[in-house]
Amino acid sequence: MSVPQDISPMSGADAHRAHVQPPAREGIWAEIFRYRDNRVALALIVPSLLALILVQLYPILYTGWLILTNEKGVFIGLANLTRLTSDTIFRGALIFSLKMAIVVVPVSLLLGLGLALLIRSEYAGRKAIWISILIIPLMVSEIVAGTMWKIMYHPTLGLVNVPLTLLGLEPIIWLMKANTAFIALCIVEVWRISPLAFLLLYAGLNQVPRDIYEAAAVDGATRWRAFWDMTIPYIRPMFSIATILLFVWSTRTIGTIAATTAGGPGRATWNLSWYIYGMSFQRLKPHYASAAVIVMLLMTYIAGAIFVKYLWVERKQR
Amino acid sequence: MRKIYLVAIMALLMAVMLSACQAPPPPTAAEAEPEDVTISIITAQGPLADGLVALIPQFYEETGIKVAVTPFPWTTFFEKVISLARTRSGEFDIIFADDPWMPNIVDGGLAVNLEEAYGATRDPDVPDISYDVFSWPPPYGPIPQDFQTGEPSQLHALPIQGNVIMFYVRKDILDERGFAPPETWDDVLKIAEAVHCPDCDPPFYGYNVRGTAGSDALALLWSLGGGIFDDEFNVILDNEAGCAALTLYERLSKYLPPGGNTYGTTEMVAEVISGRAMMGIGWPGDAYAAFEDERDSDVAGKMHYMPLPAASPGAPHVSMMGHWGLVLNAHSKNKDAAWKYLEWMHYNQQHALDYAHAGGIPFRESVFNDPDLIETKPWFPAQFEALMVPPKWRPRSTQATGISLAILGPAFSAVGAGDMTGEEACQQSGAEIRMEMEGVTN
Amino acid sequence: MAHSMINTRLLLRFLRTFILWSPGALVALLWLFPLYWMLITSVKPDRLILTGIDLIPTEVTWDHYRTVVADTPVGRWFTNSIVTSVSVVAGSLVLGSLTGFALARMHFPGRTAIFWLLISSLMIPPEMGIVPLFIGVLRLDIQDSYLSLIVPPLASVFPVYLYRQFFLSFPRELEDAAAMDGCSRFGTFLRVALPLAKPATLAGAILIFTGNWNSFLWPLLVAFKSEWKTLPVGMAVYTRLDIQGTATQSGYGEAMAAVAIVALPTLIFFLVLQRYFIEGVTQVGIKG
Repeated sequence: MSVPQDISPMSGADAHRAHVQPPAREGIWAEIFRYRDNRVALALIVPSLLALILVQLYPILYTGWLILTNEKGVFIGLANLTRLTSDTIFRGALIFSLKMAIVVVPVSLLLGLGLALLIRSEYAGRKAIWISILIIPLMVSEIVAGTMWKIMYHPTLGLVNVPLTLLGLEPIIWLMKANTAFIALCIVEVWRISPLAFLLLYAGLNQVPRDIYEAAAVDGATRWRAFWDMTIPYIRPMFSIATILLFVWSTRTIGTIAATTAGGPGRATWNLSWYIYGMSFQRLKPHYASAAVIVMLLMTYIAGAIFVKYLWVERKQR
Repeated sequence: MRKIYLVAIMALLMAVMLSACQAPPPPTAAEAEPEDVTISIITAQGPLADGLVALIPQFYEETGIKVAVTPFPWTTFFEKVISLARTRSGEFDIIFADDPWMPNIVDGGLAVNLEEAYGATRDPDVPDISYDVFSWPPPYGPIPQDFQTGEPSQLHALPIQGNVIMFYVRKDILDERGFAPPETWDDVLKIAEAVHCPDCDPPFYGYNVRGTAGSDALALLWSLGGGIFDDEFNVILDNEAGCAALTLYERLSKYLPPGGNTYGTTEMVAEVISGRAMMGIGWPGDAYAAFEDERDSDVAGKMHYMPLPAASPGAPHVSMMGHWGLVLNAHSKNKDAAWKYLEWMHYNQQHALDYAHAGGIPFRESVFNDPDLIETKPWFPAQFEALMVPPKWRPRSTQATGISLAILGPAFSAVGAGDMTGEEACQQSGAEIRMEMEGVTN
Repeated sequence: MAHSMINTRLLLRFLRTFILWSPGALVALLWLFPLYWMLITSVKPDRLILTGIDLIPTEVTWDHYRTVVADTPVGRWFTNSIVTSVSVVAGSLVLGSLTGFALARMHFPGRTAIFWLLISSLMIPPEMGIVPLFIGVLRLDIQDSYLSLIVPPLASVFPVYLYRQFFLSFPRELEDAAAMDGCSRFGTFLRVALPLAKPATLAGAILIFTGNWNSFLWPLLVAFKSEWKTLPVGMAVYTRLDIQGTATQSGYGEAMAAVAIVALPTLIFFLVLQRYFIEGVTQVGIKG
């Protein structure tokens, strides 16, 4: 593996700042178009922005309009949102989503980080084989994963219970009770999304130049300190993006729930996505459902902001 | 690398251009020649679709009209129908629909009034209930506010599949233990208590159910004389009969296989065909054919099929129906050809017989009692008997499917898991349904 | 003396390797097991599937695969999936590399704002877009076409982020050298930056390909006619999730065969590109 010696932790863009001329006073657009660099940058960015506006912004605006009207198209102000506050089913789904994220995200991150460090270490021989095996769950869809696990959790024939019976324990009927169904779903989710954490963190680890370890060894730092002081800062952006993606994936899952518990027992495994989908396409209240969509969006943004604030430290700020 | 990049751009452009080329040609404005007409049907996959597909060549030969059947998976079919209504799409000329969806279909403006437009009539070979369920506004029972216009109740679809939920029980074990087939639900509990033996080797379970599906348990509600709404759409789920149904389920769930409340059709059927379950309720379409399949089933020929047990001795054996009918899409551009197909499938006895032979479920008395069919489908006579009781249909409201999936299903599932008593579940569900119906007029 | 020292060292090394690797091996086993289970279920006869546990099937049948292939236009669905996924990969990598390069290597007003705008759109729940986009597709009358299958998933922000991170760690000197050779900014991007970004490209390609291959809800909505379904949507006929009253007769055998048919192309795609992909995530930086 060739390791770059000349990599600079400083981003190229910072170095660039020196080249930027002081702005002229002719209004912002003239200023933007004055420099060839800006024109090129604009040309490079506009396609992405257009796609984003079309596919993401327009639906948000549309949802914003839906939320203010009822199913018959009559303007009702914020009534849809206030109704949500007393909707116990919605509250249950929201809590379930958060509970699941709180368990699944850290477990997947730790598992992913552990595996990434292991594979990256000098003990790992055939890295390619290990990586291939570890990311296989990424190749199957939610519904496929759910269907596979449903057979594994079968009350009498499920293989998940085989180790328990071998240890002399009572087999567990995983999907029957709320608590075990929650654990069962968390296991499916960790199985399904921790490979993403592994992959992102492994890629992040590979951006850490090896020579900083050599320098650290000269300084007599322990491995642990080297990891904590040098590796972690390097992978922080990747770590926070992984956290955000994992949070989004784990709160959004619908296929795994549909294929394993179908929301049961009772409504114990309803998450927000399940609630929104049912409200929109089965209970036929798309306007009311859009209020829940907005809450979900806010929830994700708040979580994302927290992750970014506490985890994301760009290297240039060092 | 640069080459790869350019190739990627080219590929993208090509794909966009290809897709533009392959976009469906704009529909022709005028009615085309009959030879050129293709009518498209949307349906759920499975035996329903198989029957339709089997008859296409014959229909083409006789009329020169081509038929394209598009099956959709079960879970997404309702959603697909809803989006057709929301978008007023004429993409499909015919919708092969489940009867509980009639409110959504009519309310969405998807159904042509077949009596008004084509003078559809009732065939004496078909049970009246099978026509009633596809008439709109509903001929009896609660009528949604939006449809209380005093218009006569007229056919908006023609039945093709006369499905009704039934009761199955192991005849050989009944005989062995000296029991008669259960007349009432009390008998069912008695038999279940007597035969239930979870610790035997192999284990044997007194009762069996698709615990995740609300609609199965819903049948208990009708058979005990309960209901979701009275004639004015007031919620009556939490009345005495309603709570009795959920309490009955609570008692029955003691005899389920471990985790039986998590079962779907596959697991439910597996318990029966491997000889581990005594009895239960089930849809003939998906379960009974598997029971009688000698290749995979240990219990072929050992089952007794009957209408649901009654609330008390002498009370009617009320079941729940789930008919499938052909709806002529109001936005279709081939209405006349589509009507020809409806006529051909529905009014011809021979075609109905062929449909049943191809795996479909009959809707005509003469087909239900066809000796050849009964040989392989022994439940047909009992199914006809159940139809003549008559069975109940699910409420004629656009919210009915949502209520079944989001309120009743979870309530039964929670009772089956032992998280709630039947009494608690019926009180809670009643309150939830009242909330769900707030402001609903269709 | 020297001999025993070597032995002890070897033993220690072996022990350390073992302790480090046993959790890894366990995880790998757990990871692969459901997949193995899927494959053997798909070749078991129906009556053996839910009636007993055996890790190695006592009887193998290809009937489930035969049924699935005979009953469905697998070829057409496969083509749809391939065309869609490949186009989405190509398109979103083009968009992502352009934007990622601008965000990482060029300084212009609003750069940070645009970056955070893009990052924040990673968090928008897909439930949000589905209904409005679907209505848009129907208004434009482009349902049942590659256009409706390909364009909406193109707006994926993940490759933008991937490329930006990659280009950030790209040495300034190379850029200067390119500029001295007379390359324009875009020329630098095309001739210098992009070829060096091969790792990011491959990693992005595989992740986007699999994500798109498995996407379900969107293609389900926009495909009305059977010939416009993608493989997972078509095969969903067999993965029976009976939320509603009735269901099909197909059992787990066919479900698992269908699932395997959907999963195998991505697995093969990955195994073929695996070498480059591993190189991609392993070797960030510049050779030569």
